[in-house]
Amino acid sequence: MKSGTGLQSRQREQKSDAPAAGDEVLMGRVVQGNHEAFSLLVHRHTPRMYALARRISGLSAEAEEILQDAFLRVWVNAGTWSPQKGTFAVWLGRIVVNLCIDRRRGDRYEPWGDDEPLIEARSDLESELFQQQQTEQVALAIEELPVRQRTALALCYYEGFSNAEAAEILDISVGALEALLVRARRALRERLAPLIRT
Amino acid sequence: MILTRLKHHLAAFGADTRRWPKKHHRLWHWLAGTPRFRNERSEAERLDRVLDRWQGEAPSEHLAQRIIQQALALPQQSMPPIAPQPDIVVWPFASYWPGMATFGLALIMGCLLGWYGGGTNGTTSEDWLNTAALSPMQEDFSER
Repeated sequence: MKSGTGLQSRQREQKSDAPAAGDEVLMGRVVQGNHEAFSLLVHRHTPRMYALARRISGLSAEAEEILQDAFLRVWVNAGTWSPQKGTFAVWLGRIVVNLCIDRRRGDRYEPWGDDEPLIEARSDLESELFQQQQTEQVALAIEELPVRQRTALALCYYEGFSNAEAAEILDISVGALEALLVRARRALRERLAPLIRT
Repeated sequence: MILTRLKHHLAAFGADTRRWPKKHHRLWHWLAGTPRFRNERSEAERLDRVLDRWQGEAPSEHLAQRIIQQALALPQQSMPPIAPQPDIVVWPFASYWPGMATFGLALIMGCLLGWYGGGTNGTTSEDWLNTAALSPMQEDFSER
């Protein structure tokens, strides 16, 4: 199951959510203990934040746990949120990124179940396998990047955060963020050179 | 300067200008399309195509529901009432308030003392006594 690139999914998200209540309005209701507003926020942000956690952490089971943890914190500590801290997406993104980085600092997470996606039997199995291999090469190359470069790339390239928002999430300047992105893409260009040439 | 910045944007954000900073977006979009940057742009496009092969997985269908159930079972942390922000002006004379209150109190006390304190004031009573004592003598003086 694919969710598409973050840039596209974000644009779709913005179009479909246009008439709905904004995140900040919903969060104001969550602060007062409104269950429905919290449910809306969870449904709205789960795909994007899951993709972000998945790209930083590298494992889907870990990404799910991180997302659960992040939303639990949002609910329990809703009173600490204020619009002055930035948009809700940036606040939630910061929680997710911090949880990902914290887990990377600790012992490597070992999933309980088999985390590898199963390849469905199809007629074009060979082509599927080839594409799967290429995808894995890209994923591996990105996973080998230093965590901050990987996070910057996941935020700006894949999940469609603006450079200012990504810098706020990482708590660095916009210039430092752009430097991280330049280094990340340079390293990826070298590592993925065989794929780029084909 | 602008050309260096454009190359930097291509190197940082890739060829798709929708990912670029919003400031001067139309200028960047136009410049990125000019032939002068064809090499940089095509190089960035090739890397973008490779990166796009790693599409994001969608979360499992029940993840959101599971999160909601778990979270709503927990109590929310009660927060102390938020103090008004210093930049929000609730009472513009807040800093003058203690001084104004003291001055007002002193003024009221002064008026009260002035109004009711006449009978108890020694100086005023002595003046009255002196006047009363001297009034018969005044007649003697006026006869002369």
